[in-house]
Amino acid sequence: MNEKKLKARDFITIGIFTAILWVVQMIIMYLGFLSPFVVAGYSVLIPIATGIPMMLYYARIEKFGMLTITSIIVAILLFIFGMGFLGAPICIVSGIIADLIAKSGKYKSWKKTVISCGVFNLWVSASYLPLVFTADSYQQSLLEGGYDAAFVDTLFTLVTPATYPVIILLCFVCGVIGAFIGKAVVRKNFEKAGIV
Amino acid sequence: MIEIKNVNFRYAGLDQAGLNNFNLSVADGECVLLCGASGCGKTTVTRLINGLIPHFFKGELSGEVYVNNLEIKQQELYNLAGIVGSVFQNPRSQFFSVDTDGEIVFGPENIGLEKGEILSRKEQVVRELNLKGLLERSLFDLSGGEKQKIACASVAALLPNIIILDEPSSNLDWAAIRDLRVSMQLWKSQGKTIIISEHRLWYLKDVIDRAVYMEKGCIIKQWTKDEFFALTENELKAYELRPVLLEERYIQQFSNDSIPADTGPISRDIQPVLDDSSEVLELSNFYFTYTPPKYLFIKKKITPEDEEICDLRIPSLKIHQGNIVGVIGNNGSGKSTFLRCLCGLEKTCIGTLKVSGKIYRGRQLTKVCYMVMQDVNHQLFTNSVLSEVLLSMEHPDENEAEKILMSLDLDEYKEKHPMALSGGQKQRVAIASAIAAKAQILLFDEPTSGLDYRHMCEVADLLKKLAVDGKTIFVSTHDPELIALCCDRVIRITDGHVTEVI
Amino acid sequence: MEKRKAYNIRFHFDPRTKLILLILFSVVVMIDVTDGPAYVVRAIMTYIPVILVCLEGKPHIGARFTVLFIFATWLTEVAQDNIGGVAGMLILFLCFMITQFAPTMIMVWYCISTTKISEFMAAMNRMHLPQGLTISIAVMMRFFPTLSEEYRAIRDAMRMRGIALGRGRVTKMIEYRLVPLLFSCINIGDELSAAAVTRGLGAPVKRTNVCEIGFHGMDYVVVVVTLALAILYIYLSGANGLV
Repeated sequence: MNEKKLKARDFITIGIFTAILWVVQMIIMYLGFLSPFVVAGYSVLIPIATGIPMMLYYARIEKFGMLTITSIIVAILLFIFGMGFLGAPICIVSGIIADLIAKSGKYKSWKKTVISCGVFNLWVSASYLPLVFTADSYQQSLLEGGYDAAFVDTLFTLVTPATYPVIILLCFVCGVIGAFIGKAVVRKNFEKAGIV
Repeated sequence: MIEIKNVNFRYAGLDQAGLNNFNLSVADGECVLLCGASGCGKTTVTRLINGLIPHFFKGELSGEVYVNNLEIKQQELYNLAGIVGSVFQNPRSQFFSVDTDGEIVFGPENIGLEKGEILSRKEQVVRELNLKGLLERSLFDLSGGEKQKIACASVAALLPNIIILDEPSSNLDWAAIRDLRVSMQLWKSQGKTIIISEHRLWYLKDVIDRAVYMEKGCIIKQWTKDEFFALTENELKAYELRPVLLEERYIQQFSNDSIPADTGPISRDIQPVLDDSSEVLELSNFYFTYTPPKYLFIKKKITPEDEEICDLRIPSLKIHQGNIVGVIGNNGSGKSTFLRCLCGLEKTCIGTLKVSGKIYRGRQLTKVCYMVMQDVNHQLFTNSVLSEVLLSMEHPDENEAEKILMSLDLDEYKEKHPMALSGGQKQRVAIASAIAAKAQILLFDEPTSGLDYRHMCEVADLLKKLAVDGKTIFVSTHDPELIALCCDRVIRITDGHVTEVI
Repeated sequence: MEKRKAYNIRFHFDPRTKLILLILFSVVVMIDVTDGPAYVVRAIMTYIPVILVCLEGKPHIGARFTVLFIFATWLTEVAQDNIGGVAGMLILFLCFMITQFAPTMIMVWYCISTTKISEFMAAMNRMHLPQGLTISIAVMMRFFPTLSEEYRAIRDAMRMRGIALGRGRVTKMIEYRLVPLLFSCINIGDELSAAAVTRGLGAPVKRTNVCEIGFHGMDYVVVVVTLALAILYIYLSGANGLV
């Protein structure tokens, strides 16, 4: 691709990959319906599961703006699904930074792509925000709802404002791991088939 | 006026057919057929004219392409939108909107025409192509033929002088192909230039003015309309083209419910093996509906008494083992439903299948039946042909797998990625995994759509070989030539009922 | 394989109205309340999208939701008193998620299924959002049904091969689904792009929008009602000392 600017075709690709990312993360979110432990595991599961489509996505476009647009769309969707006013900006900011990092490596440098993927996945931490910032009322409502006190305690020692940096770090690390797994799958399948 | 001068083209990174020193000029109002085996470069020619080369597909391009005296290289794709319109092969992937109305006006909206103008064009196109019944519908609910009609309308609404069709009939049934012909005739009468690349030739008889035969990126031969349709069956076969007249005769025969007495039985290369001693497979009570009566969450289990509401209603059907059964019928008549039920994909189907004294029903059917899907890409999972076959085996055994690959001429590709193979090869990989899974009954859902004559013959030979090995085969198809080449029996499915044809 | 019926829209809301409704709902979802007057308001709000869906000619969905909602509420009550331990907790969590997120889910489903791509693009245009973003979101909306079609075909193929559970390995389970799906998506994406650009998508002109959008009486009514309920809800839940 010689042209640096995104064209109609790229916008279509962005739409498609954002749809895939969203569906994959929705499925994991649905799993979270079954058990609160899955909720606590979002920061591990989502970055790793989306690693495969993400790596393919990086290989398909290689132009500035792809991650920014994706993060804006994800932010809108997060907002609609109640992850709120704080989640959306985090999502967009991490998207733009990830885009800039990847751009600095001209979307070719593997190291920069990995870091960019890690940064991009910081948006996952946004889904914990309601848990963190409304922790007290949330905890109380869980207890009122008849939850086991010991369980609620465990959940809220895992997810508190104090551990929030750890969650952010976890998102980044798992994003990096996801990138490596994704790259391996892309190499094994898509590069071998000559698609990328 | 289209002028292609000394064009050489090679795709970058794609293993597709390029062009070698290609020259073609097409006068205004002319209708030109591009034919030839797959990989001859005919699709590449269509892409040169609609500008997808070099603006969408990258590669090394030399030479000049002029359309209406505009050099394609120097135009942007959106400038060409109002001049060249393109209808593609796959009806499912070429619409942008979700509703039919939005799709028809999509093109004119993009190039920023005035609202009044767009609406009057829409009205005109709807009237001309007779689309009233399709308005205000969701595109996801339409059949392939209806989708293709909307695609034609969407292109026509831009009022292009030139219309390009790239294998538009591949996924259509006979009725839909006839509708497509009507659209093309209309465009012709309006003086539009039409370029069509196609394997199925019978429906183009009254449409084209000239036929161009290509091989390896070059034009080998050109015929006028009269010359082309005067070619005998054998001459066409020599060019590996589908027999025009034969196909048409079959279709007339198969399309009518009653077989005209005077035409006699269809000539066949082989005689049906209706040996009474061979074992019989018995299908009974194949009843199924997509819309069972519902009580909030629970769906009612259907019985043969519910026949009226069923989408598939086959009380009983007996098939000799080792037969090849052709399944014909229009899209939406229940062909695919029949195949899906037979291979156990519809678990609410109450049908049973008796093979060698054992009765299979519901999910158990997946053990004896295996379907090669129309879009075979969906059933390839691993990253090499060999592992694909091993995946199907209960006890993976490489020697056994290699034997199967050998018998299907796939041994040289065993380390390749299945997705890197051609369509026909992918199909054979799917067959290989069916054999590895020890399926006794093989179902093929339109295995020859979009294949050229040679590949169709290869499929026919392969089916015959599988039948000799004792597999029973059901093949749903819109290609009468395939039926003539290999089927022992033909059943037609109309409205979920089975009727015997031969 | 349920077949979708033709568009049968009684109230034809402006896409922007739907957007406002979605935002108001997302605010409500963020604040959770389990009893008191606020809960009543919440239940009433929950029924706004349900009624809209019923008016679409799909009362069975509304009925199913009602049963599910009542069942979940009832189960919460029962489980609180009778079922302890991990099982009770999981049931409670599931019920909590249903009552908590179901209104938004059904609202989102309603909005996506009743908005035509062209209407959506017109609305985005009116709000002066960049065309690229509009195209991406429009493609995304169109792509969800395609994804589910493709996924169903792949799942069928897996069943025939008996590998739906990946022969017991989770990684294979994911890989066998995701890899063929991505291959399909790439193909469809390329074909879709080719079809779209040959019809002039991306032209640097102001895109026309044929479809009529605009606020009408019903738009104002539904926005005002929902807004009033949302404010009441926030006030009541605040009075409960939960925020």
